[in-house]
Amino acid sequence: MKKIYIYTSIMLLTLAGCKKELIQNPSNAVNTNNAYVTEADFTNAVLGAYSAMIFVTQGTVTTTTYYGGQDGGSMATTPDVLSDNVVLNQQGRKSEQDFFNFKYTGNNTWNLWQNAYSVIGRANNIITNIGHLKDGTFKNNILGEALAIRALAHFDLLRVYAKSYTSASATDPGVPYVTSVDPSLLPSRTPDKTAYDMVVADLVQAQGVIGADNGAGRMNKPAVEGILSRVYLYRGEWQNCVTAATASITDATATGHQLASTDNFGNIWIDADNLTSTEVLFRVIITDQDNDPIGVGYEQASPNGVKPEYSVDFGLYTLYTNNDVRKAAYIDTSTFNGILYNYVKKYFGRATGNANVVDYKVIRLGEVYLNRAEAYYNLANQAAARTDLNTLRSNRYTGFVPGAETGTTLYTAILLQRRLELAFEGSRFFDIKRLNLPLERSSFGDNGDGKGTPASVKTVPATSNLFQLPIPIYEINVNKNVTQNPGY
Amino acid sequence: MKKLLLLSLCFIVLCVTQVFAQNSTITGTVRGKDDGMPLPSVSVKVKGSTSGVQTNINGQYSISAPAGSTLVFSFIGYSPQELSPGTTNVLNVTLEASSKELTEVVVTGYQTKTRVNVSSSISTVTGKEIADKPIPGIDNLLQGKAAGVQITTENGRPGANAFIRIRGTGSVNAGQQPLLVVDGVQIPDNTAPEFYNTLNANDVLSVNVLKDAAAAALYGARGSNGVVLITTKTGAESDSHITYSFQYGTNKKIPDNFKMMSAAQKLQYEYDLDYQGNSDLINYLTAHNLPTDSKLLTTDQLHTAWNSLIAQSHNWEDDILHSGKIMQHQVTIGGHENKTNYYVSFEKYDEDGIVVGSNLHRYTGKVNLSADIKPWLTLTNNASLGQRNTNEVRDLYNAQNPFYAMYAYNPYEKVFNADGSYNLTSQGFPILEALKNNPENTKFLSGYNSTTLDLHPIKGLHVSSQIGLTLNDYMRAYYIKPGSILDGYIGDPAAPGEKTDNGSREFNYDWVNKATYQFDVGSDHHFNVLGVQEFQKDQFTSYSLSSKGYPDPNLSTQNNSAANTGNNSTTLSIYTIVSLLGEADYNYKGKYFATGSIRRDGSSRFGANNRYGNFYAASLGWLITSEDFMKDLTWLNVLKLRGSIGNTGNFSGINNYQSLGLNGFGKYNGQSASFPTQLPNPDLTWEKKLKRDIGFDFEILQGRISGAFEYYNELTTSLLFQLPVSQTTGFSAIYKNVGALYNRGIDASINADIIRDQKSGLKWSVYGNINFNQNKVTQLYGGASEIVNPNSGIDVIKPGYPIYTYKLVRYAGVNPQTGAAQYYDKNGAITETYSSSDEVVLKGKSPNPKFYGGFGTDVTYKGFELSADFTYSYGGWTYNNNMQILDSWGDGVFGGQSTLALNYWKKPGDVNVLPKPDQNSGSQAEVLDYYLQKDNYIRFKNLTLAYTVPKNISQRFKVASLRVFVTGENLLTINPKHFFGDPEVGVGSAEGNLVIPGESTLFSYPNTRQFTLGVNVTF
Repeated sequence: MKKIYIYTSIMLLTLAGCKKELIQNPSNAVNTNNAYVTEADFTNAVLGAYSAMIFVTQGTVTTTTYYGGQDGGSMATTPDVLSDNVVLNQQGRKSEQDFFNFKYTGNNTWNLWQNAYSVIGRANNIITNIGHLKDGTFKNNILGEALAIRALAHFDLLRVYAKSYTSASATDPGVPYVTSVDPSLLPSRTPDKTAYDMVVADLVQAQGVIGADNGAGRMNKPAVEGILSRVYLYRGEWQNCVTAATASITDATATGHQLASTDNFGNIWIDADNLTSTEVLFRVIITDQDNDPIGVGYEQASPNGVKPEYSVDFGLYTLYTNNDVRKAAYIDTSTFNGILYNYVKKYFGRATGNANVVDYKVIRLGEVYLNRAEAYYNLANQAAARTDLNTLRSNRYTGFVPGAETGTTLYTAILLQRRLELAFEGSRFFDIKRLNLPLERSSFGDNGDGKGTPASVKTVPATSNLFQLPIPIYEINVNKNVTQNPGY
Repeated sequence: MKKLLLLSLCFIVLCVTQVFAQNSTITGTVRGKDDGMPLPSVSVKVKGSTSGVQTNINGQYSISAPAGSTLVFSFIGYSPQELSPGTTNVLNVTLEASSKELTEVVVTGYQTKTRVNVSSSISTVTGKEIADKPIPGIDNLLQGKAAGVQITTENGRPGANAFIRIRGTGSVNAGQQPLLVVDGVQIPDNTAPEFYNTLNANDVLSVNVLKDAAAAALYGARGSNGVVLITTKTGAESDSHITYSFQYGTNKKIPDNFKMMSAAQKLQYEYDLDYQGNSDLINYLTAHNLPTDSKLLTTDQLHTAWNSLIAQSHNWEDDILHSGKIMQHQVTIGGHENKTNYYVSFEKYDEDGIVVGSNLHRYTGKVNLSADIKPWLTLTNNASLGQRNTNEVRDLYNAQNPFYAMYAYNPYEKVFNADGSYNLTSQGFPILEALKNNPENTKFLSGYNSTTLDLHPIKGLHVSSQIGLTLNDYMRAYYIKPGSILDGYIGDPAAPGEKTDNGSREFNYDWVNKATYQFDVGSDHHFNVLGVQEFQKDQFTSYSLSSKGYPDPNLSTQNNSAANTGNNSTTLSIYTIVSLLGEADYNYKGKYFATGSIRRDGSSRFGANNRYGNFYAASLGWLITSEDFMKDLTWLNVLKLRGSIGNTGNFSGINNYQSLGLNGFGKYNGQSASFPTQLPNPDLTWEKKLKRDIGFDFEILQGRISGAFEYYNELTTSLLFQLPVSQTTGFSAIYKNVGALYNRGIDASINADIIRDQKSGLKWSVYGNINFNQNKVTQLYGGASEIVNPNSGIDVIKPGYPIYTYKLVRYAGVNPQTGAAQYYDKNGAITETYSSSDEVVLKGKSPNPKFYGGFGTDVTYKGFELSADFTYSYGGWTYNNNMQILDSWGDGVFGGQSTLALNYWKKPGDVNVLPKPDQNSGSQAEVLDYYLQKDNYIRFKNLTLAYTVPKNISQRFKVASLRVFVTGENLLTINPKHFFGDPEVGVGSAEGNLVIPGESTLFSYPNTRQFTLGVNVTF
């Protein structure tokens, strides 16, 4: 009997020993409090911020985002779907058709809100903890990257959900400019103009500390300056735009970047450009392993031929002349189920590797030249504007003879080149919006010869609320401090 | 220990002395007829004398009797029996129970008790009720068998599991399945589905379902959804035997209650809708130099063209589906020798699904051994291992799913093109090619081993230690063969073919130390106390490998690939639970019963501030019929009032590290990248459920009619929700314990022996059970008025309404003048514009049935046995996507359509018709209450006709018993509300994540009808 008591006591003791088994830690993650300590931690964290531009993982759920998503909107497709560059293809899956038809609601809107703030949250974790690093170039460079990432994401949010800088009043809401990592935060919308100021402030600070060259796939000084020139252009601050663009071109040249020639231009879109001399200043690298097919929003390969989601608007198609290298780089034709289409092949994929997987090009020298040309024109420096325009065109048209446009012809030529250069690159809707122009679509259909079904919505007036997309209802429900845009 | 030895010695000496003192001895074993288990404490007397003995714990007795005397066997709850041993010295006896209440053994978890001593709510299903059915899953076999236990078959896939909901849906985001305990071993939640599938139902002695708090609170943090206790056979329940069983049968889809359009109907429909996308027609017209616009053709030209298409038409269902086969072999060897019980079985089960590429092959083996190695020490070891190997088909909403494809293809579309290649069809995908070239195979190896050492040094005391090990090993291989059509769509042209091998292993050990002590104080006070310590540790690992670039479709192992896809990964995840449990039973004179228990659980899964929880329960019972004042009511044999209260927890539904703030790792540009993945919540804890139950058991007319009636009220609090946070924080949600819901209802069951004629051997019995349940969400997190179910988007979790109440736009019929579809807007006004903002919560319409249950009958006569089981469900609603897609308003014109789509508005004044069809109507994207249908049904689940050859004939062939039987499953379905398709709806779409039982249909694997023929031979 005694033995039983002893035996029981041993069991009790053994079980007491099990108590320490009650603390278990995961093998695939570290506690957030210990995640920002060493230099290696910060390198990982800044790469984590870039990776949010492709994927976001919360808990065990991973979603493709920002540049990669399709039906929920993406930078690669949605600004063109919302514009006059493409026409919904009747044989496609009709992804994003609610954007194309301007039928979005708070329940069904571009999800950039969540995606961009995920990027911002990651950048803010770096900025908040940056004091853990000792002063020096490493710290400066990381801080510069994080600030630039935060500014870019806020700028994109402003472009989508807020009024254009030039049309907004001092009190018109922008988007919350978030600089804190407090998870209980319920911020209200920062005034549009203030938020744009904060974008500029972050970019200017980043410009001062970021390294000249961080390798492909990361922000660097010329990229920050290039983005800054874009922001100034959107603000209509022409001299600042010229200054930033010039700094970008100078710093880019110093680190070996240059405009792609007519011979090399096509290589950009299959990621075969020489990374040390590319015209791309900042690209989000999407590897085959990431397998985020960002081109699927435009087309899908099938055993029956390429199946377009959107056809190139026939009016735009005819604007590309045959000696324009962009035509072959951006557009191809396909016969699907007996019908010929012009489809967007800009994101069709690399020469080898997964279909539709290709880097997303965020800022490149071609745009910086166009930013500066437009700014010069608005500063009444037509000669400089024309020089920049010709520099670009000579690298886009074979056998190009420099143009001598002046006045509004020059202005029209700058805007035309901007449309042709940045088509299907997430710019068109925003360009129309920043210039406070109405959207006017053609009557061409989805077929390769302009026949077929045209867009049902042909015009959106410049003052329409549709230029400010609805904020996702999720945020409106949770955060009473955020007001919905009018009309939704 | 010395004392023990001394005691044992005395015992042995006593026995020996007895043997020497007598010169004529009769020995034997007394067993219960219903379950074959030995009966202890049976009184054995020589008729006409006062001398007598009692059977021991193994049912054995030894009595001395003069030659020619008669022995009388009697035991409470059983009909007494008188037998004369004649010349033999061995007399084995089976006693027939006259009262379930007094004789039925109930497994309560950690203990077994007699039903009368239990004042909690436990349903018992005997192994016999689920044996010899052509269905591999034990969970499916429980359908309709126990009151308050709602079983819904997921779908008709071979090896599909079932949804088990005990007394309603008690949670939103945590698990809803009950805890499974097999032979005393708690099975991990992820492993349980496989255990239902790889344990052999024929090895099951009984299934006990713990429903109320007093029963389930013993399992504390895991008991909230109820507990299913499976006990396997030990060999003690029968004499030594070898049985071989064989079963063979077929498997077919249950026929649809709707018709698809014929080729002629479909062509006319297309013409009427001016549909120009029929590529078969266009190709014909082009080849004959005719305009491709049908409206420009003469009637003759049109009909000639149509006839050519009609001539090539066929029934896709016949081409894609076939009749499957079921075959089962089984050998069991069981019995007992001296102090050892043994039970060994082996089974091979093969089922071909109703479509090529869908099948199941299962092997199971079992060994249960127990031995009294010392009079005070029993060693038991139960082990079972099963491998289930299935080939799967896709369950999603496109033509990669054969059960969508067979409807979606047009009847005039050919299987093969003229050149022999597969026709991609209007769906752009040939399923018959995919079934061959995109095989998906899964293998599960699962089993358990439990070893128990039981010490019983003095009367009434048992001290035992049990180590239970469970394993579930999963392997999946999915191969998109190079050159397959799917590879052309999604593969890498430079590296064709892609193979994925993934899998997981979950290993768990459950160590239980327990002591029970039974003692009496005086003759009226009976006590039984239980103390338990338990420790569980669970390790889950998984892996995934995939690569591309395969040189040959026949080479499928990863070493043949040219390139890595970069998606290779492994995971590791651990949880632990440490527990203490105490329970005490008290009864006074067998009239008043009280039980109380308390359990303390600690788990690694929860937040540092809430790691421990206490769970208590209490129950009271009053056996009214044992009161003196009831003695006159002889027709009323048993009436017992009982009630219980207690609380339980729900441990499942969140991941093991959910309470921690974590940074995870991914990659960017091939380099390591780190980012916050979850916000911390050190308060995170289990959902809590307060369960209350009151009811009574009764038996009348010598147990001919028996039953139970119960009312329950279960309140779940601390509901686990992903509390939304402002997305400006970079996060969307954080897991918190907020919200509450309740389930209230009534369980009732009845059994009646309508004819019990001992003389002719005719017995006819019926059974029935019913559950009425009312579910209501009472509270959500701060200020939220409703949560839309994110997976389906068609229903809500809203305070004041049952869980998953539908929220849809209301359809207002057709405008009889124009044929336009009309809707009610939010305010009830009629509009012709569909807007999702007009969705309203539809009071009273949810997938939850108002009542459900089962009934059946059993007739035995001279070796013949006929049994029939029915299940039913009433009052639930299902969103019928199948109907929306197949009875479209024109926008489904490109694919197959049912004939119901033809009934549309054609001229002013038409009513009760579909709206005027328009191929661009977009109606398939509209969520409308028009497609919400009542899924009431009564299903004839099983019919078994068996014949046991009389012993005197079979024994001539040295066969102890020979039984032949036929069974039919899902023979008939009564569908009073004309539900479009099968009204028994489990999952809508497994890959579409529509997995709330009965919520929606979306072309999941259809339920099947089986017929089998079987034979059992026992030697």
